Amino acid sequence: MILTLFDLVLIIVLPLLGLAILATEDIFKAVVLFVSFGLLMALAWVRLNALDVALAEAAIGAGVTGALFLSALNRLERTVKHERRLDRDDERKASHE
Amino acid sequence: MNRKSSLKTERFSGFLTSILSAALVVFLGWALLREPPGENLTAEAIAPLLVESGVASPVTAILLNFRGYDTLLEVMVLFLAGLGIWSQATVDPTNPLVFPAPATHPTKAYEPGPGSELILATLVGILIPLMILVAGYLTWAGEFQAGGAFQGGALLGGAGILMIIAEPQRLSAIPPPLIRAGIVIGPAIFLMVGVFCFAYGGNFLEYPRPRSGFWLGLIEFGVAISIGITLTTLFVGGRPNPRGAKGKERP
Repeated sequence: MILTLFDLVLIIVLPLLGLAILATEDIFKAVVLFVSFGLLMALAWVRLNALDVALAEAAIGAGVTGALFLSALNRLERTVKHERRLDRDDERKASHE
Repeated sequence: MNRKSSLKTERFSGFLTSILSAALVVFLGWALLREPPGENLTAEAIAPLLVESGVASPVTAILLNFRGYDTLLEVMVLFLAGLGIWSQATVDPTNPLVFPAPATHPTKAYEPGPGSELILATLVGILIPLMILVAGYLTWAGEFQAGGAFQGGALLGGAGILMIIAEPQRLSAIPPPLIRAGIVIGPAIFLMVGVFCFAYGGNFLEYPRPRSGFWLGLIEFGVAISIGITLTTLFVGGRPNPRGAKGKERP
């Protein structure tokens, strides 16, 4: 019963988290949400009885990919000076109005 | 193309992408719910073959023994990714994380307090040896429980990334040939064991029967080291260039 509730919570939160990642305009916030998405995905793999995949997802999906994204974001803000953390769409939305 | 039409094409392509992604999700769900799970890869089917494979975990037996060729190709793909990053950019080894000059951006970035370097240095000094130890344990534990080369290698990569973040100037103390050897050792050991199997009368990657667990352990050891160093190289983002980043002369 508890495990069913846990599964239900995972099923509800994972797509909502995915939507939140796609909907934010701040890229840094999206990266942080992506790391938490990786952690919840590792829990989902454990519930599916795939322990090796869960270990790999926690280490690579949440850890290494998060660090790679932040490093890429760091380099991005070096080439595009004043658009440090905002999405590109802001510029287009501003010019569209 | 003016700004208005580019916004329209972007909106249309975003709409098209979401429709196609939703169609993919629906199709995958329908395919999964319709087919019964395969008969040959269940735990009951693998159990009588485990003794022959040399390990006690069915996942590791499939990954490294029965479907070892797929794992060899995965390791090669990671090697190619490291090669791609290595060939694209150079990085100043004395300062691999070159941070930008303080920007005129209105939101204030995080300002470290006076003692935060001490916290980071202490934490890193405790954590990194522990992470290396746990990575070795995870690689060895893959023989009989969840674990294996990829998991241990990912943890080793995490330790490397933590070291680069905390003390970036230490990258210059590592001689580049050692980094190259670390990236290459995993695919090299895997390939050499595969070719060595010809000497025992088997096919490529058909391990000699009585002690095939030994060869699996050897391969896992090399692959774990290689994955860890390749992931750290992916994070650093380029080959070491002693003349500084984007140096004009080739090293």
